[in-house]
Amino acid sequence: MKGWNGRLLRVDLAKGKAVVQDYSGDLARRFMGGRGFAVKLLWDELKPGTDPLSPENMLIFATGPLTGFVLPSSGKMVVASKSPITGGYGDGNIGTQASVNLRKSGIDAVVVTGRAEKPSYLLVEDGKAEIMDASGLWGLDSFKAERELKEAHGRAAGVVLIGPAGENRALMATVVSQEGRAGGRPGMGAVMGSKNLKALVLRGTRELSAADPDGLRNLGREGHRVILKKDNYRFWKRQGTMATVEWCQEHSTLPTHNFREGVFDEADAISGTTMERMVTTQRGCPNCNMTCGNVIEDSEGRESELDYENVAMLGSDIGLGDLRKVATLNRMCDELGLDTISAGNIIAFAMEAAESKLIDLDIGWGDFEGSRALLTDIADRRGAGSLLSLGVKRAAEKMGGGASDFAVHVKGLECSAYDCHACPGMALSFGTSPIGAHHKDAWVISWEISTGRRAEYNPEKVDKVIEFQRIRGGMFEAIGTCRFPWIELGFELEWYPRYLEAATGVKTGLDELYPLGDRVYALIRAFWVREFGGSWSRQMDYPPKRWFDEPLTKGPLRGSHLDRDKYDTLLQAYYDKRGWDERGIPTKATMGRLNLSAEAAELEKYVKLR
Amino acid sequence: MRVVVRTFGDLIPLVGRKRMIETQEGTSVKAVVRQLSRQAGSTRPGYIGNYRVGGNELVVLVNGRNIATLDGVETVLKDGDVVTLLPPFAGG
Repeated sequence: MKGWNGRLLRVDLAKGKAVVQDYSGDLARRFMGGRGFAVKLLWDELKPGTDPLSPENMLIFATGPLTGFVLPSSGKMVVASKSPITGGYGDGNIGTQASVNLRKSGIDAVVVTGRAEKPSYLLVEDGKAEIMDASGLWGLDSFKAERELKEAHGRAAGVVLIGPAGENRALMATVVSQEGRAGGRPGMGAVMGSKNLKALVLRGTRELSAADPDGLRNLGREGHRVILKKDNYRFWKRQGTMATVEWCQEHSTLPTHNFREGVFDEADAISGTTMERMVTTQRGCPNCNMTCGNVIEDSEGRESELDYENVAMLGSDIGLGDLRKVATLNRMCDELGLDTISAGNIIAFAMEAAESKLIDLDIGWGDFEGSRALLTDIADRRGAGSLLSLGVKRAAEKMGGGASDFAVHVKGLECSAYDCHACPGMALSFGTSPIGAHHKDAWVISWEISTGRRAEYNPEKVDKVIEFQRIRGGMFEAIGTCRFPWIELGFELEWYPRYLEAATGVKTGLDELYPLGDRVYALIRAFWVREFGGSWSRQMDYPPKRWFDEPLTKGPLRGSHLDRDKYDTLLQAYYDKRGWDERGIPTKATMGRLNLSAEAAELEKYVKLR
Repeated sequence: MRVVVRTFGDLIPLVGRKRMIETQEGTSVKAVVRQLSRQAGSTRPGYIGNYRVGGNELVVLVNGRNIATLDGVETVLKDGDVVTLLPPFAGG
C-alpha cells in the first residue's frame, strides 16, 4: 500500500502496552483516513453507552493519506473520541508538526484506551512507542509543558498535549500544539486528561512512500505556486480569517452579548484592520504557505495567536472591545487548553446568567478581569467554574430559571461565531453538523448572504449545506489536508484527486470522493443514534432556541429571527436529500447504497431502520 | 447630494476604505459604482476590480440592506446613504 503506512499504534494505558498493528485495506478503501478512520474505529470497537471519561473510551489521533507529503497545507490530523460534552461523536482537526512526525514514524493513527496509573506521556520514535512518566509535567500549562518536552526530546519532535483544563476534565478542554494551535472542541482534551495522558511526543525520520514520488513532488510544488498567485492571496496574508470581523458586522452576523445581537458597537476595535497595526509575526501549519495565525502582543506583552473565531467569541460575544485584552483571554485559553469558542460562549452565558440573577457571580458585559478569573476557575473546576466547566447546556439545566433559553448550543456543543437570526442556511449547517454547533463542516454563510436571498428557506440552501459537508466534512477531514487553500483562495478541488493518485496510486475523482463524505456522515449519524437510542429525535438537529424566539433588536436587520415551521421544512428537505428518514436516521437503503450494510445491521439492534 | 461608500478586502486599495461621493439626486447604485470603477481605472464595463456589479460575487449594501432585497443595481440613493461594497471572502 503506497500513500498509507497501513499501520495503527494501539496504546493501552492501563496495561502499559503499546503495539503497532496492520490495519485492513478495507478501512483505507472505504474510510480513507482522518475522520473516516476515527468514526469507523469508534463504531466497531466502542461499546455503546460508554462513559466518555471512563478508561474504556477511545481517544484517536488519525492522519490521512496526504498528511505529511510536501503539498499544500498537509499538516493535519484529526483527534476524535466519544464526546464528554455532547455524549455523541466528537472530533476536531489540528495542524501540527506532530502529524508529519507520526506519519514519518510509519504510523497513520494512534488509538488510546485505558487510564494510566500516574500522569504519563506517550513517546513514539520511528514507530517504537514507550509510555513515559509525566509527573513533572502535570499541572503545567501547555506552553511550558511543550517546551520541556522539546527540551528533552529535541526541537524536531512534534507534540500534542493538554493543559490544566484537560487534566481537570473541564468538558470543553481541547488538545493543543505549538503554542496556539488547538483541536477537538467537543472535549477531546478532557478525554485525554481522564486517561492521565499529558502528551504525545512524536518523532519520525522515515521518508513517506508515494506511488509516484516525482509526480507528487512536482504537483506539490506547482500547487504551492498556484496558491501564491491567487487574486486574494495578498489580502489573505494581511488579515487571514480576521477579515471576518468586519464582514460579519456589516451583515449583522457578529455574535454579540451571548448571540443576542449580530452587531457590536465596538467591532472596529477588534477588527482585522485594527489587528493589522499590531501583528508581530504570522504562524502556520506544516507545508502551508497561507499562515493563518496572526500573532500580536496581548495586554500583558505576551504573544497571542489570533483568528476570527477566538476574537469574536472572546470579544464581541462577551462585550469586550479591546483587541489586546481579547488576545490575553485567547492566550490564557491556549495555555489552559480550553476551547476558545466554548470558553467565549460560557463567559457570555455566565454574564447573562449574572444579569438575570441566576448565578451568584459579580461579572458584567465586557468585564475583562472577571473573564480572566472565570477562565482559570473553569480550567480548575472551582467555584462557579465548576458548574460552568460542564458547558452551557448542562450548566443551564442545573441552574434552571429559564437559563436554557439563553444557552447557545446544538447537541450540547457551544455555537461557533456566526449569529444566525437571519441566516437559515447557516442555521441548518449548525443544526446538522456532525459534532454539534460548529461551522467547520458547512460554512455556507458567505455563499448564503452573497445570493441576496438570505432570508429564504429554499432547497438550494439544503443542496449547498450538503455539498459543503461532502467536501469539507468528508473529503478534507479524511485526506489529511486543510480546506483553507480551497475555501479561502479558490485553489481548485480538482488538485486533490491528483494528489491522491500520485500518493496512493488509486485513481479517483471528486465524484468518488463525495460518496466517501456521505458514508462518513451516515456512520457518524448512526453513532449518535446508537448512543442516544430512544431519546434521539429530529429536535436534536435544531439550532439554538434564541434565534427563533428573540429577534435582533439592533442594526439594519432588527426584528429578524428564524421561523420554526420553515426551519423544520428545510430540515426535512435535508433529510430527504441525504436519504435519511423523518427522525434524521439513514434508511436501510441509504446505508446499503453507501456500502454500510454491515453497519446498518448493527444499528438495527438499537433502532428500527426504515 | 452626498453618499458614503465603504469597501472591504481587496477593494480597499482600489477605492479606499471610506469615501464621500458628490452626486446628483436620484442617482442609482449602478451609477455610483460606475463612477468609482472609472476612477479606480477599471477598463471592464460593469466591473469594479475583479467583480461584476450586480453579479453574485460582490455584495452591495445600502444602509446595511442587501440591494438584492431592494431594487438591485437600480436602487435609487438619497442624501446621506451609506453604500457598502463587500467582495467575496472566506474565513471559516
